[in-house]
Amino acid sequence: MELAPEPNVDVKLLAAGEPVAYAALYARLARRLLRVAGAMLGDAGEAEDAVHDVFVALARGRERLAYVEDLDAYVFASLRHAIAARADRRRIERRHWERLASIPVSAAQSADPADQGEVSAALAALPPEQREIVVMKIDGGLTFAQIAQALSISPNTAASRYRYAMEKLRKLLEDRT
Amino acid sequence: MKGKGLDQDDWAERAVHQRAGPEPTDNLRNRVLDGVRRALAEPAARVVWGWSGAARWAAVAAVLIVGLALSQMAASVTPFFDRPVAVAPSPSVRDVAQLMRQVSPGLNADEADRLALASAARGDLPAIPIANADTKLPAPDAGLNFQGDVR
Repeated sequence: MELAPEPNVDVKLLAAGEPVAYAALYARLARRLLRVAGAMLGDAGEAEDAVHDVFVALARGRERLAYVEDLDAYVFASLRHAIAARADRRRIERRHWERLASIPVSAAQSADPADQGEVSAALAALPPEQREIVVMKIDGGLTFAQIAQALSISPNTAASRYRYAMEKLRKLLEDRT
Repeated sequence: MKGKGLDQDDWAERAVHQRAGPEPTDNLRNRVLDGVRRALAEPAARVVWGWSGAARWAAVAAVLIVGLALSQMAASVTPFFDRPVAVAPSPSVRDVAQLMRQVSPGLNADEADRLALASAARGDLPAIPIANADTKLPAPDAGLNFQGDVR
């Protein structure tokens, strides 16, 4: 898929509450955030709600943005919190991860039934902590350092968790074909 | 899909990357930016310093260390800790002599006094007058040891 170049976002303008800066941030990250949220929540509508929550939370806490060093990592960390908050609101906090592990990926997310049956289902079969790393790396386009920052883990942990996840995903895909 | 001719690290990542997924719609964009506008119209949230677990424990440790240091300083300058240790009252030579006569009824008063005085001469008991200083004591080879006899 051909993607438009991502616009630069001025953190100072975000902190100052400039709507234009938020529009630029949306243009830059919306697709990536939506794909990550979709993979984690397994529901396109829930994923859109989570992305909406992220931007509203950023606008409300805009003064904090002045202290942010890595904006992408910060936004994805906010997305993670938004996903968890959605789970809380649905009264499944205690079994959040178990639920994420068992959620079938919505068929509406894929235009290609064959692809849907293989990759997305294999992705959904991963443990949630591994799936989170994979989609943050591949869909979110984050570096391991940014993932580590977003998940509050070490970069080495993020990298090894990603490696294990890809090995498992590869095996799942091979088994399915 | 299996991509046998591809790098093993590559084909799985590419499969994930190329899978279909939700795409942002104009409706979502309008909804998000409306929400942002409303949020920007609200007063900005104040920056609140969060207390992480590590910071909390660091604060507790700092309080304990400062408290310990202050208590040590107080102990070093407070006279309370410098009071002399009370000592048990020491018996007088007369008391010792009476005790000797009780346990050794064969001793007369002068012998008991001399014996007590001889014992006390090695310590810091004050000397006291001896009632019969001219009394002849048994010879040293009689078995008595008058070590410290001050005569």
